[in-house]
Amino acid sequence: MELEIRNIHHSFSGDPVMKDMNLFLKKREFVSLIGPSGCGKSTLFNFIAGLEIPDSGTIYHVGKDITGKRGHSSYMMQKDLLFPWRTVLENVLLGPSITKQHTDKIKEEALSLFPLFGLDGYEDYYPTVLSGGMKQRAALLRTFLHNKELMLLDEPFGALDALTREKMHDWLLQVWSQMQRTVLFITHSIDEAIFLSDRIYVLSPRPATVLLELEVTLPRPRKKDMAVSPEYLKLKEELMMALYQD
Amino acid sequence: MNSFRKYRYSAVPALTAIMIFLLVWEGAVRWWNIEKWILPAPSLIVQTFRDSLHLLPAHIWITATEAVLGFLLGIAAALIIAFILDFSPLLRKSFYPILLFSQTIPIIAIAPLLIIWFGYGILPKVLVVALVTFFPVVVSVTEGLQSSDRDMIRLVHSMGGTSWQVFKKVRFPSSLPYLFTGLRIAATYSVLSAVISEWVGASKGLGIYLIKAQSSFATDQVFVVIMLISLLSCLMFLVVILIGRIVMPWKHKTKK
Ligand SMILES: Nc1ncnc2c1ncn2[C@@H]1O[C@H](COP(=O)(O)OP(=O)(O)OP(=O)(O)O)[C@@H](O)[C@H]1O
Ligand SMILES: [Mg+2]
Repeated sequence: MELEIRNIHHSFSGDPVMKDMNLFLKKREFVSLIGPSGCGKSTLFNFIAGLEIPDSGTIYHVGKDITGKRGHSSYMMQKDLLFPWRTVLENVLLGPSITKQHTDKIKEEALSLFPLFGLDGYEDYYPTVLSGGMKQRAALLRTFLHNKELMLLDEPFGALDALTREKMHDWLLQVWSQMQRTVLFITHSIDEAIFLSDRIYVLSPRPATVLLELEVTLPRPRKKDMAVSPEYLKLKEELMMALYQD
Repeated sequence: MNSFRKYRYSAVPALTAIMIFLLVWEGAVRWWNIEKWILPAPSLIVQTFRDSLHLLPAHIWITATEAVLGFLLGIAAALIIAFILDFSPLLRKSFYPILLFSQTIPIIAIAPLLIIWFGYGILPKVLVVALVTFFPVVVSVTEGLQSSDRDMIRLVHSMGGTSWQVFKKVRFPSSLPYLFTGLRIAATYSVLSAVISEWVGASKGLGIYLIKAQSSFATDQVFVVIMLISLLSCLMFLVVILIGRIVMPWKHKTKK
């Protein structure tokens, strides 16, 4: 088991945001979290990344208690957080420069990924010249190059147009299957969740708890035309029922 | 290249205004026959400047040395103190308010004290300049270090970064614009405080030259010195801006 979250409860100054949160990720699994805005998804990621400590409950990473411990995952936050004083290339290499694995090999790997991310030609520019979508892709590349098996992606494609989004979906699935990554993915898009995931957790409004855990039974590799299959529509209906109940 | 052209054009109106000002000044002095010890004409000031060229360099050199050494000393002390205050919240809470309060002490009033302690040499002047430049720098760096983006810090932490890495990769670079704001202020103070500290007691320097010129009613000499002080201050200011552009290329360039 790559990640296990057990019985997390949390309040911000007496105001509960999380109630008995339980979820798990198997090795090399792709799991999405979907839930109303403000329910506590990013807060859960902060717990997993060790940036905040929950009031109670435990987080296990490969069987080890990592509650409040950092450096076990690659975390892409909701904001792009590119450093204005670093060029795009220096920004995407932030992870290796912190874990002291900054080698020529990883620099070459980074450079070879620039075209795929639609960033080629911008290696030596400062991030101020990038568009919103490009900034997000640079942040995703930075997360990927941090090189931890567990990736936490908080709405990584929120600022992208539909076309780029689909390209990034294909790329992400390819990376995920080739590079042996485990992905926990926050999204507001039901279609995105179904297309990418092995499993989907639907969270309740605040305080967040798991309302529904759904296995996505569609075969891989996923094709865009699966979106009209009866199986797909059934999954979508189930998710919508859970999300928009009451 | 492009920016050069922009600067040249933006300088044209300012230069024209200065020219007109000088012409009006010259004309007024000649028209009303104003005595030269009250207001010398620009042409006379230029003439006096040329005549005293052999005297001036020694004085300029002394004052510039005091200003530069004091400035460097003030910056070094300010950076060290700011970093120490930054690493210890307890020290920051206890000393930062005192630091802010001590800005109200007129440093120039301390100059006689420094002369008593350190004599008439260059040292007390350097110390006055250092004290004057210390405050704007220490305050701006402390503010800068405290104001970095919280989420950038969290990002480095989430990657397993240490506090030192957070300092090096986030807090220090994001404090640089604040540092240079402080440095620009300090640079303009540095020459002025060197000049004034010479008034308290010195044998050479633009401050002394100014006092001597004033006591003999050599108003044209006074104007020459004022001009030189402005030029020196301007030069310090420009050097700070130039270094800022080198240290923070992302502030004015889009590409490294
Ligand atoms: N440090 C904090 N102190 C107090 N309240 C907080 C803090 N962080 C988050 N909250 C609150 O907790 C709730 C959950 O926030 P969170 O950012 O986890 O939501 P989210 O599910 O990620 O929402 P979105 O989909 O809009 O990003 C919000 O109501 C937010 O205001
Ligand atoms: Mg969020």
